Amino acid sequence: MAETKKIVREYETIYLLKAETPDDQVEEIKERLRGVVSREGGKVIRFTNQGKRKTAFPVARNAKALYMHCLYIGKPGLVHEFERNLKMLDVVTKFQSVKLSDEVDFDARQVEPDVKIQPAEEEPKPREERGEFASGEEPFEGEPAEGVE
Amino acid sequence: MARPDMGGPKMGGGFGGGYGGGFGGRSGGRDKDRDREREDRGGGEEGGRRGFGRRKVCRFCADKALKVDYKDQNQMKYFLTERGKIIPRRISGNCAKHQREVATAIKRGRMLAILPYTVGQM
Repeated sequence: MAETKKIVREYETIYLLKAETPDDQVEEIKERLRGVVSREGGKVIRFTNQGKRKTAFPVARNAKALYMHCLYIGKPGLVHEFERNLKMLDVVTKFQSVKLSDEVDFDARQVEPDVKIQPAEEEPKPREERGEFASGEEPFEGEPAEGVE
Repeated sequence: MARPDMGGPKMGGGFGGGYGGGFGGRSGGRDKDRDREREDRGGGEEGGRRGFGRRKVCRFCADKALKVDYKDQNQMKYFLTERGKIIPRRISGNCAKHQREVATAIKRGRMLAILPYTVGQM
């Protein structure tokens, strides 16, 4: 094989947004970061919206934060540029980048669609309220018994 | 209950009280575990103060598919005390390699507010 493989590194960055960030701004930040990565010759594999989660301690005087996860490949300088852009955004309260792999074939790594995960524990609602909404989807735990009667 | 097995006369004076009171709190039990583990390592099953040293197996070595993941809050919580401290290797049973990975993962999780630095000190 005469063609040379383009070997790049794989990184992931988790960044926290303020909980009250509107959805369109979340999208806007996503597109901006996607632009940064492609400008630096990298490729975003996928963004994962992990939803609003309770933080272990207050972040920016707020008990909740929106967790975003970004998986991308690129050259070493990319992370610096990526984080520099995160620093400029006011709604980003925390971020952390981790190198996952040293050698990834640039062309072989496929781009995946963005994922949005709904956090498992939503705000604890009163039981009767939960029963009304979830009775169709979750027919266990004895809640439908109330619905039948 | 456990006293006949423990070989009372052999036990050192200092620890006797500790082992006898098996109904103490959990945090108290951890310190006692330390002594027990050391004995196990030195002298096999018979020589120890206590016969039934349960050998712990590193859960990451036992299950190769299991990876240390700092994003997985539930997995990481297993290696933290209620106060948010990292549970030592002698208690969790991890091997050295995986304990290092767990410790790094917990520290990463703390930075992202997934795991607490400390609990209950406001």
